[in-house]
Order: sequence, then structure tokens, then C-alpha cells
Amino acid sequence: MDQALVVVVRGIIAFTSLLIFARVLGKQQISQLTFFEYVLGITIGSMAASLTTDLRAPAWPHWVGLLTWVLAALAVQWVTLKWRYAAKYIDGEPTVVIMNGQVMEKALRTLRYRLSDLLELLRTKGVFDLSEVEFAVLEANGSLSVLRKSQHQPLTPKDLNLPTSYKGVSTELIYDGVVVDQNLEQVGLDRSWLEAELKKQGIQSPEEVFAATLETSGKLYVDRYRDRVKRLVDASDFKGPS
Amino acid sequence: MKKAFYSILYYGVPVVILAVFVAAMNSAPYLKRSFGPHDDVPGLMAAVEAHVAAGRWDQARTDVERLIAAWETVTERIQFSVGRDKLTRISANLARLRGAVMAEDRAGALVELGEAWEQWDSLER
Repeated sequence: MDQALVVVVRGIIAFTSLLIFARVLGKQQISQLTFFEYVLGITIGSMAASLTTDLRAPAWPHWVGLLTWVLAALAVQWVTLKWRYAAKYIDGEPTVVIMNGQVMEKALRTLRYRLSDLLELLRTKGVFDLSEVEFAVLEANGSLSVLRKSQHQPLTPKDLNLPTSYKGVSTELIYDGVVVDQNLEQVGLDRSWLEAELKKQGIQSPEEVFAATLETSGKLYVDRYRDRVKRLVDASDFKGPS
Repeated sequence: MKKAFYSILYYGVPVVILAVFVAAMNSAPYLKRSFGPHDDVPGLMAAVEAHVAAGRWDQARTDVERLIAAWETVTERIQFSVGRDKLTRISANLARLRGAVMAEDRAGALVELGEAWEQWDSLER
């Protein structure tokens, strides 16, 4: 019995199964990770690890365990989608921790949050002064949403009645030296237009370009492989391998 | 047409992969069967049992060696779907059986064979 070979085969089974199950579970796992989903992820990962390296037991019961947890997670997702009451019970609800500039001590106690925890979360949101906050809501996934008092909110063009032009998502036209024809077609342009634009910037071939994106204003942003920076800024602050 | 093909591919490939995995993990009952006289573990166990019961020790010694070789062949096939503990237990049973046959110890040999039968029957469980 070649144990290493068995581990390799079982590793392939665990890895591929986990990949498929993660796709089935969807993006909710990463974007809206509640405490339960966090634990769920760890448990499923732990089962996949056991399936790979715990050779004492057959692979099948481990795999069934993995499948059971994935199906249970799917069932919980389905129930919380269809039944809002259950969603409230299972996922919890956002809690207001600062209201009208006042800290809600009772809510903090219920959440088992200290003031230092709240201040830490505020700092991660760029708020260093408690008096700047009008509302703060602790979301079900543990992140803090902050509404600053109007006098502390950043000035926007709208506040100054300044006209603005539309700004949307830019489109990749060259990726790693390769023209993305699909995107070119999508924006109603062709290679000859792109090559002409590149020539205007002194570039002879798309292969010289690392990335090129078309902004919604029609401006072409180009980054070449050959950077024209004479002296690189070294971010390292100590000698050693980089 | 192309869209339907990609749709089938999108859902079909993972389903086929998972089906292959499930089949591989549950292949022990099929793969432990004999595919020829060289890997007939239950047949050889029965033969050794009969030789031991009748006191034919020379034949028992020959068949124990064949049984151990057959078990090693089967182990190669079923190692991906059976727990290592079960494989180790049967290997230990056969090693002790070999010793009992060499010592012409009927009781010891029959005890080992009895346990080996039980382990063999519950191999995939």
C-alpha cells in the first residue's frame, strides 16, 4: 500500500469536490460572511483535510460528511431566502450602536462589544473622533457602517453645484500584451482604431503594452512593459531578501 | 445550439466528476472480487481453512503464501476506497496465520482465519 499515492488520489478528490461545492454555495460565503458561515467554512475545510490525510478511515464517510455540511448550508441559505423570520433568527440583524451621535451602551452590552472594539471599528472606517458620527450600525456580518454628521461629510461636486460628466467602468482593451477583441467589439471599436491610438502615443505594437483600458470618457489609458521611471522608490525599510 | 452545449458542459462536467469520485470511493465491493486464480482471496482462505482442518500442513503452507500474494494484489486495487486500518488488520491476520501454519497450530490458524473472514466481509463498511 503506497500511502503517498493514496493521499494524492484522495487529495484530488477532496480538492475538486471542495471546488465544486464552493461554487454551488455561491459568493455569499465570501461577501457576507457571518460568524456561522465563517465556522461553516472552517468545518468544511477541515473535513476536506481529513478526507485527504486521515487514511485510517475510508474516503467515503469523510466525503459524505462534507456533502452533508454543504447540503445543510444550502438548506439554510434557501430557508433564509424564502423566510425572512428565519433569516432574522439565523443570520441576526443589523444593530444600531450609535444613534444621533450617542453610543447605545445597552446594544453594545448585548453584542458583547466594548467601547474599545467600537472605536477600533470606527478607526478602520477613517473615523478618529466619536463626535463626528451621527449613526453607526453593526451589520450582521460584523462590519460597521458609519454615517458621519453632515458637517463632517466630504464635500461633493453636488454640494458646490458643479457639473460632472458620466464616469462608468473602464473596459480592458489590452491585457498582458494581448488585444481583447471581445471587449473591442463590445465598445464598437476595432483593431485599426486601437493601433492608431497606440501610434499616437509612440507605441508600434500592442505587444509593447502591459495593460490598456478605455475610460467612459473615451480616453485610452496605456501602461507599457517598459516603464519610464528613472529611479524606483524602494518601499523596503530594512536590509534583507525582497 | 452552442449555448446549450456550453450549458450542458457547465453543469455536466462537475456532475460527471462527482459521479466518478463517488464510484471510485465505493469501488471496494467490486474491486475486492477475484479477477483470476492469482487474486482469489476468499477462495484461498477457504482452501487454507480446509487444509488446516484436515491437518494437511504442507498444502496449507503453500496456500498461505499464495493467499498473502493474492491479498497484496487486491490491496493495490482497493487501497483508495478502504481505510488503512482494515487493510493493516487483514495483513496482520495473514501474517499470524502464516506463523500458526508453520507451527502447525490448528487452533491459532483457525482463530486467525475466523477473524480474517470477518474483516474481509466488512472490508468496505
